[in-house]
Amino acid sequence: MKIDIQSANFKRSAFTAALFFVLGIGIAIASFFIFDAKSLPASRVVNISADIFCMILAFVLYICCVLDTQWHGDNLNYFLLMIFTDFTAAITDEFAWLLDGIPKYSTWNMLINTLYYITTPFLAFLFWRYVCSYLNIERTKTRKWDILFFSGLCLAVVMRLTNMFFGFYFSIDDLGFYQRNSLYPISLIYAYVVMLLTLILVILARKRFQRHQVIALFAYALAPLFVGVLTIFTYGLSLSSPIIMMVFLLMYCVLNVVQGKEKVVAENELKMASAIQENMLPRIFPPYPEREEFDLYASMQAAKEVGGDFYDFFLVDDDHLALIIADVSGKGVPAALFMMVTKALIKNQTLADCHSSADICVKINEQLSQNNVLDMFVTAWVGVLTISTGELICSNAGHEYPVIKKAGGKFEIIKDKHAPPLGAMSGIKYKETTYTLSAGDVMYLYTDGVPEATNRENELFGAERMLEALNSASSDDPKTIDTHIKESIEQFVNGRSQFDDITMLCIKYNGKNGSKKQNGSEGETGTVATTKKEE
Amino acid sequence: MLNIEKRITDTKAVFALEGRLDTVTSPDLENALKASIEKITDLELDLGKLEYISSAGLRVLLSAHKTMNKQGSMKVTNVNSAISEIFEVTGFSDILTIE
Repeated sequence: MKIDIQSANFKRSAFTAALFFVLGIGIAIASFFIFDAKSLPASRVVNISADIFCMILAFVLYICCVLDTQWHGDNLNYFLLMIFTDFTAAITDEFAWLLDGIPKYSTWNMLINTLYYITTPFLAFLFWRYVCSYLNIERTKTRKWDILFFSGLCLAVVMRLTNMFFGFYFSIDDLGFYQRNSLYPISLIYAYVVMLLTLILVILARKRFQRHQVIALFAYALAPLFVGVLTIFTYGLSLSSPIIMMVFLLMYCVLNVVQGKEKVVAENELKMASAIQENMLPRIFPPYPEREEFDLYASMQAAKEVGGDFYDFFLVDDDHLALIIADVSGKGVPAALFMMVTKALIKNQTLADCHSSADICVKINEQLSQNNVLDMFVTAWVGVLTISTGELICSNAGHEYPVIKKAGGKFEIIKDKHAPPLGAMSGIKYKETTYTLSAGDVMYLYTDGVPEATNRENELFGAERMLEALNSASSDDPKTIDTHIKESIEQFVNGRSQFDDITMLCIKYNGKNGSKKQNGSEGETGTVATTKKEE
Repeated sequence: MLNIEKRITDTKAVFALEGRLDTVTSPDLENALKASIEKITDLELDLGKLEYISSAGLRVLLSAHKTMNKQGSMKVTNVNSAISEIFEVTGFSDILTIE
């Protein structure tokens, strides 16, 4: 379960919880006067005041946690439940002291004390889950322990309920006074065992914590233990709930606030990286409004803040347009770093050497292969279009097959010659393919994020659906095609989160004279000449 | 999910892979290979039961291939049609020794 601070559901439950807190505190303070607490012994007044203080602290802490936007998920849920449980412990403790020694309330006294007793094992169990979720341990790994502890919790609750009839842990005597009985220490076993095992987990995972965080977690387990040991022998003081609440405050500060701070810093850096990367790609469309010979549109949608895909296009000279689409192996920051280097290299190389895409690939491959300790590589499709003739020289370095639609025809996958990706290994020879685009032809380039978009049933979007979507677009306009494919993918994945970067580049060639209304009838039809060049 | 079955005899090792070799599972293979190929001169990757391989998986194969080039040889065997197509498209068929 994930808490979304914006969702109506969350707002409702937060509001209900806040109301519960305020009501609880109100009742607690009111009953302090109703039961004429002034006549009580001083130790009890201290105790009751501490309980009320604890409840107010719980409320404040709860508000802090809810408003902390950096913190969500299971870890927060367990922490909130812990606050609730301790709040319940405090309010029952207060009433237990108020009702103590009044014979007519002895049944209530029993019920309230039982509820108080039930909170202890709950606090221990929640602490275990809180630590597990803080450490992000997979549920499957802790499953056996979860089951064991949960069964123990159920047993502890049942024992406490049974105690109402047999009074082995505690009982209320005829005068209405609460008193501990011989088996009282047994009631603490469950909580102590769970606490102890959780602390062992903390010790085992100590490298993941800072020293003061370990101290806070130990304080949670040891402070009430210390108080508990003291109160085994002294009657009249039970300060564990307020003390636990103080430790909660400490835990919140040293564990979760620190974690939130680290997250914010990391997130800000990623946002900046993301902005830098986005602005590396040409993003103004149409890019060359004065050029009537072609229409072009491209987009990159990263799965994470930064991605490893990129597209690029630029005019090498008046008559040559370079087109590039590429996909770096892997995702996230490492892929993004590699992508930035590759993009710059390809552009520089193409500007210097625009007439052979194979030469460009060979040189880029040599440069990327040097000192490539992580064996990263880039699948790339590099093409140079001679605008006046429609001749497109291109090389495919392990990239997805391009899709071409001849004017008036349908989109079809062109299985061109493949060579290994750039950076995979030095000494690779790249091949070159030449297409001749006629007026009205459309070429669509993409990365594997398109065919490998996955829906909730684990089905892939696939090349078939991609072709179908391309052919069902309402026009040949590259921007329309781009939008249509994105919509089709979105419809297909049906809400499943995007796993890989999705990048597309689409170009429509309008012929030398550049009339956009022209259709294919004028140019040569369907000529795909292929020449291979071996280095 | 990825299951890796290792069979090592002296300097020969066979790694049989089953399942998906993707971003999530490829570190497992990378670590398994790192841990045991130091003294191996003859490495075989049996991909008979591999369903899918992503670019992250290809990177691990490439790494292993480069390491093995220095100390012996590596081959991939039992490549099924789905994986074979990926090797074709990505040009890895030109790099790896596929049997």
